[in-house]
Amino acid sequence: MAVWRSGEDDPLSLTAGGNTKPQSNDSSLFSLSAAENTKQLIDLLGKSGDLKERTFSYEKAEGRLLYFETIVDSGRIEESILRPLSETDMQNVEEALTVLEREEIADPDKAIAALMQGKVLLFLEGRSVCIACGVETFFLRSIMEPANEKVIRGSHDGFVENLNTNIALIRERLKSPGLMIEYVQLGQKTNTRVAIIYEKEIANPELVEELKRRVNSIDMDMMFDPGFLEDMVEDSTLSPFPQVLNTERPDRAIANIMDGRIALFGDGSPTCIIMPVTFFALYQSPDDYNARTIPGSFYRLLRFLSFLIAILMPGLYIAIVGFHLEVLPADLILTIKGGVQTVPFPPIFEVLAMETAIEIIREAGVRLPTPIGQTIGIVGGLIIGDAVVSAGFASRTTVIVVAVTAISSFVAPSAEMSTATRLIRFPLMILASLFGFYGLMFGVVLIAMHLCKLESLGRPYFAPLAPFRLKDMLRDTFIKQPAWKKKTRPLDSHPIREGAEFGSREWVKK
Amino acid sequence: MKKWIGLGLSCLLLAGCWDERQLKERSIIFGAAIDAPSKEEIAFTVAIPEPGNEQKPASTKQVISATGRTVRESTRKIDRKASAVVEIGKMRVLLISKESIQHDIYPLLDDLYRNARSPLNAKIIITEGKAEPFFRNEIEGEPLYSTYYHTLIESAEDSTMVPNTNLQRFASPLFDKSDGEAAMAPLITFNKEEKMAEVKGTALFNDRRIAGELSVAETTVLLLMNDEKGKDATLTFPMGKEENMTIRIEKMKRKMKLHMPKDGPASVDLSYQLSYRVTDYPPGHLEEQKVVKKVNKKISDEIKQSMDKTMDKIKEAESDILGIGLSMSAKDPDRFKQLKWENAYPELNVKIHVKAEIIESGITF
Amino acid sequence: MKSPATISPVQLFFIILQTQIGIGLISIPYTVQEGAGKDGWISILLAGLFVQGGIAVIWLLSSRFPGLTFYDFAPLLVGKIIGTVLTMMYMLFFFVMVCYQLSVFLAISSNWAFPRTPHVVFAVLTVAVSVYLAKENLRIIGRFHILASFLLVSIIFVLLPLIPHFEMRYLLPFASNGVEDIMKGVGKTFNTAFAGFELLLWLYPFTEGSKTAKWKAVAGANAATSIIYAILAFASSAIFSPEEIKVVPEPVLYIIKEAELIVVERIDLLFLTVWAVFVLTTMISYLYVASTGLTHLLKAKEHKKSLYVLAVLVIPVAIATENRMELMRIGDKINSVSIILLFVIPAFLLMVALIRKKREESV
Repeated sequence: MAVWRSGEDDPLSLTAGGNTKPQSNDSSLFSLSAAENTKQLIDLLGKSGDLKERTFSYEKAEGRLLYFETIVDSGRIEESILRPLSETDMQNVEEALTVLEREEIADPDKAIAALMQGKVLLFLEGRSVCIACGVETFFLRSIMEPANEKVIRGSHDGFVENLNTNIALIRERLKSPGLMIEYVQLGQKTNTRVAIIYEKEIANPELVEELKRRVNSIDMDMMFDPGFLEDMVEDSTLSPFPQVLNTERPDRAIANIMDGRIALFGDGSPTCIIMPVTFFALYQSPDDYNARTIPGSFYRLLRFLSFLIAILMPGLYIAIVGFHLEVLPADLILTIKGGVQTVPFPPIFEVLAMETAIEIIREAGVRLPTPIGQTIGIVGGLIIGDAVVSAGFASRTTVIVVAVTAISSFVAPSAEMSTATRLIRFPLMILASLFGFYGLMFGVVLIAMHLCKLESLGRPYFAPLAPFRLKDMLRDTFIKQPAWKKKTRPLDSHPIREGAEFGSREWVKK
Repeated sequence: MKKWIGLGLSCLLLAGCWDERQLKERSIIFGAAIDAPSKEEIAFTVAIPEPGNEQKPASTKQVISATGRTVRESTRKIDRKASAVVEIGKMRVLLISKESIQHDIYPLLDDLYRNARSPLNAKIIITEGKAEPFFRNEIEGEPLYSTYYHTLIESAEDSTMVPNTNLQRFASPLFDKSDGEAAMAPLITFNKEEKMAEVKGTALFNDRRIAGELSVAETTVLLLMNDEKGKDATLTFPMGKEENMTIRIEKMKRKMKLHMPKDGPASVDLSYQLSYRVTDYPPGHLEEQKVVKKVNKKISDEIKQSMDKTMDKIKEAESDILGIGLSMSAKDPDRFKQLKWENAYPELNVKIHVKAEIIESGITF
Repeated sequence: MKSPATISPVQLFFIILQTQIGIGLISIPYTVQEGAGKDGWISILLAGLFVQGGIAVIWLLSSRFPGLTFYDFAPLLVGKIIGTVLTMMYMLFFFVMVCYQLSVFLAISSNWAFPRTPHVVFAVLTVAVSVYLAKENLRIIGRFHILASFLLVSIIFVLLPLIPHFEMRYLLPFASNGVEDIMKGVGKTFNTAFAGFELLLWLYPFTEGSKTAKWKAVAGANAATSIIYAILAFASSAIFSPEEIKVVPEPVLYIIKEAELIVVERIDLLFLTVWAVFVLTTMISYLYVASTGLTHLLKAKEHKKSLYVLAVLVIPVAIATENRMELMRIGDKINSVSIILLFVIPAFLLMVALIRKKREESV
């Protein structure tokens, strides 16, 4: 069993934090006058158009409110701050406030941060603290199924841009007291809230600590989720393979949390980052768990096959046509020869050009509105393909190889993985064009070695193949076993609670 | 470090690919023919196919011949004539004329056998007459001659008319100097009027040169004797006057018993137990037990007779196709050495026992 | 423990297996037939048994020093000077093995598929790829070796279609060539086929698990290797007549050259590629152990730098001769040396340890 080595993998994230943190500006503390206090804050913030100040003076209370009108709910200010204040007859004014969330802040820096979060600052005359009241407004997109992670069967909801809603989606399904949510505020300027979510009775505390260490070391002006976050916490950013799982599906996130993995959410993005993951987890789709055992396993195997096709097929074709023509059976060789005979370029150029064309078509189609995108696909794929062959620039076989490869690469349920497979095949093609099978072999061996080395949050990335664990491989990697057979959690996330199923199929006797 | 790797890679890219053999720049041959009237003169002929398309099936584009002192020299001479370098790696049939194998055949095969690129699964075919015309003559309805010969032999193999052989299996016995086994190869002839080739039988080898011939029927019997039934094996025997019966062998069991007394000549007992179906027998009445018994007896006798005849023929050719010598050497190598096989084999006493049994006479397939 | 990375007994099994299976895989039937003729496969099985003895000696020796590698405990047994000499000898032996594996690999590759590619190109590539893994710790090497072992399954797939063409009579009667010939065959196998088990001397302290688990792993690896080799030798002798096998120095490639699958012909080219991976794994193991030896001698901390030095040195040595005949002669010499290094010295050290009653104190 692997020993978990803390930090060794990622010395860089250690040094990033610390001394570079700018010192807080030396604004003095609040004074007793509300007017002065708000003025002090307004001066600090500069005159932003949507920064509003409202004075009030009721019987018991006199003071000022300071808020950004764009991010607060004005109705709630009236209802839960102004009205209670005007009606109060209590000695202690704060007691009257009916807002759920409120906090006393004495530090102007913190007050500004709270202001940015959409809080209303309440300054009362004669007090040197302000009360931050949570009356943020939410602009909610409706909860929809994420477009790039559609499933046939199963739940059809997805995360949205609001952190609280997302956590609500998780809490709603995972009603366990062990579900831990820890907030971190990241980005000196953007002040993005990031949540680390894990199940404390399952997730390995060492992994949680490690992820917190990495997240806490983040120090930058802008937190642009999820790409930045991913870059900051990933083990090896230069590897072609993604070492985190991005998902917008609550069910997928929960399944992973229940496997002892840790989810990372950033406010403002519907994408949840899950660590540590394995290569194979990126090839699992939530669909698999809704599918029955045999079809589920079949499609999972099909996905791995398409991974192999996507990275190897163009290289194999180039190696065979350029080096090892003996490998083809006699009947096939004549057909292929008929195709390449009149093509003026060597196969590597032919394939490279076609692969590049497909990538361009894909890239062009992604950002266009759906109907145009489809048209581009059809025009690009069919017409260019046909024209290229009839003009004699590329052989039919090349077109077939390129098309099959492209389609195979899109099978991966993770968009990052699909990009990775599409990128890997280019160096393999070049190696194959230089050294035939040997070039391809060297390339594949290098990739295999790289996968053996790669770690996600310090856990082996290519598990359960390397390190090899037959039990895990048969349980949920290559085949999808029925739910009642998944007695234990996968070991790759090193969960502290291994058992997951306790004889559900031992039906109570009639 | 990274800079150096980059530099190395770009050097590789620039230097290019030493061993590249572009498919489009090669003349792939499927068939070759060898005519070697004497040891000094080896004429090598290759047939270069032309890829087909939707309108036109694949056909033979060119037939090129050249003569040299070794096979390799001849192929190099062909390269001088052909538009692209000739690629021998996909050869599927190798035609060798009968006159070329009057002397040692191995020099003709040495290069092809040991060349890392050459295919060991090419079929060896012996031709009646010169081999070159087999690629020069037009064959009706078969524009791609090499494939025609290949399928011709393959289908004959399936129906147990010729031995299932290829370059590797053919050459294996040639190395064996102790003469415990012998090679054989199919023999074909060209019929100019019909514009077709025809399987004629088998050429038997004795120590790397041709020693005899068998007809197709005899080959089938021989292959059955050697327990090498293909997918299908049929035999036809006369049954009384003007009546003939064709049977299809279903299952076969062979038992070989070797007798190698310390003093005195060796002998072999071959007993066969086979079951068959009757496919053609117009007189019928096979449902009657009595008839069946009679037919079984008759067929057993017929098979035994033809086996005896075939055995005599291969003994006469001094060609130990059945590998009796090999079996003997496997049983008792010391005694086998004493036997002096090349002298002992033609005198060998082979007793054949056949027990044939009908299993089906109704529906035939 | 020096390195934090430990390996499991399963990983030990596969590291030893992959180290033993290298260039020998495709030529072992030829090598043994030079001595034993058609009974080569018996020679291999006997050699495997013999090696089991060697493994037992090494295991007994290592288990007396469960926390130390050979480099550490050799000086304790025979003194500092001889210990250093031994360390150097073994390091040199591993270095030579890497070079030899590489040169034979280059020679066979150029014979079979790449006649025109300069040897130096593949030498650089192979060494570069090996270094990429050998610079990592043992555990990652173990992971990769397990992954590479899946390729061993391909042997079964290429042999299965050929079983109908086996000619058993070439093999019968078993062991008729006499004990002397068979022993001659046994003697030829060590450097190309069985060398690799001695890595236990270095891997022992890094392996988790009990004493017996470690022994089982290595003995099992050796048994698996012997069986694979014996099957290949058996198949080769059953397909090639005794005279024929003499003209084919890589019989395993020759056998499968004949086989056809539906969509692929000339499986030998594919198998050659698979075999290249086995050569790579062997080189990686030896490079790793050799570089840790150099590190030990120089008293450096990490093995990476010494690995780079060794790797750069391997290339010119490996491409020095492209002559196959000479390589075979060199192979014979390495074979004689390897008998001393693999069997005699460990046995001698074990005797010293028993007589002087030395073992590691604090465990």
